[in-house]
Amino acid sequence: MLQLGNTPVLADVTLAVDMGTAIGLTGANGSGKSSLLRCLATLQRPTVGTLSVLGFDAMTAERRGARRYITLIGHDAGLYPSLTLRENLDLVADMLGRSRDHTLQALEAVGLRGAAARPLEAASKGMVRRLELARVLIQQPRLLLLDEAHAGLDTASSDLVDQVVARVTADGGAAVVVSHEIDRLQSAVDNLYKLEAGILERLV
Amino acid sequence: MTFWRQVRTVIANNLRVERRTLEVVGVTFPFAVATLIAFGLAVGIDAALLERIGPALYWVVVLIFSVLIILRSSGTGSAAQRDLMKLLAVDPAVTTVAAGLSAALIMLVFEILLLPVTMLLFNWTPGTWSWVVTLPMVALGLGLLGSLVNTVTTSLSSRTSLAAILIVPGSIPLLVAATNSLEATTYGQGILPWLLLLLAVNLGLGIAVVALAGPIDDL
Repeated sequence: MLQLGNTPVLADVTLAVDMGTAIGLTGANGSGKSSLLRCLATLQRPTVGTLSVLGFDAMTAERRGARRYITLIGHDAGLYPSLTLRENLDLVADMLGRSRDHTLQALEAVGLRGAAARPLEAASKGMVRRLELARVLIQQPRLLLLDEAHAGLDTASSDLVDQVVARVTADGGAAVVVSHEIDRLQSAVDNLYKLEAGILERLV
Repeated sequence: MTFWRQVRTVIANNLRVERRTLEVVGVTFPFAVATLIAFGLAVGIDAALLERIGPALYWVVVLIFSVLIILRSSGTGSAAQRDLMKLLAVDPAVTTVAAGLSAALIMLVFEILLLPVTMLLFNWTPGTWSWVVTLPMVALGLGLLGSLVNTVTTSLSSRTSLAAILIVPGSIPLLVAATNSLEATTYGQGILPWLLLLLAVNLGLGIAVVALAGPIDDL
């Protein structure tokens, strides 16, 4: 259970995500999807219950050990608007101790190599989402959490989202994908869940 | 990647953001100059009095505008930026130390830019070397204090107001030591006690910034 102030956000959630699989999560706005992702990202602790992420007890300080292996792509990219696309990714690579060569390769892979010198504030929403997918390629997470994965994206960008999810699971990682596009979601994930008023229910 | 290398990377990033946005040099600094002029006009045309209160007014303006500099949006970072750092497994102390040192460097630039304006307006000449020591120490203290306050108030809805309220009393020892050390050299007195006070305050703030980062992150 997760309660924010006096408001119950997640009431009854039991979920296990196997490595090498992706699950889809759908539900109305305000049903608790983003909060569930934040819990899985170890950025929020359930008020009551247990939470283990990648073998780390996320209810204790042990959760910091899991964070290196988690990528969360949420509503806000957490990037720096005044920096270029490349500089934003360079920061990620630097903090992970990865070579900056990975940055250019990742930008190339998501079709942003030509826009590498563009400030983030001048990039479209689709470009920002592609940049976040490039971050996934640099970080190579074992757990990928995607919020509103396909919202506002064109077909090519949505396909890219699905490809990155497939790549993470093919490499043995797990993914949780939140989307309102159920048809697309079904084809990209192994299991589909619906969250309604904080209660999780398996659909497929 | 080592602790200090990560700190250096974050500082370089923060300074790059400041260089692009020019939030301090282009926006805050002109207002600080205007405030300094307004203080001078409010005091009147007594040249001897203006000269005498010059150092105090300089530090008061530094203090007032340090609140804006410390709480500027590009300095505190968004919640999503902080989350990103957490998910890159960056030690919380790296983030807070880097934030403090970046703010200190920006404060130092601000102080240096404001110094000649004060000297010109108030016909004030600081002691030959005291300001070389005092300015960086005050900048460091304000930067660390800002980082500490931002860390403590980061998840509070009243953060902006509360942070400002905490910064002002927290910076009083810095302000007192800075004003007295500059005045002491102007009048040929020793400044060692004031520098020791600055050193002690900075040391205490530095320890608090490192020690509290982890526990607050765990809340």
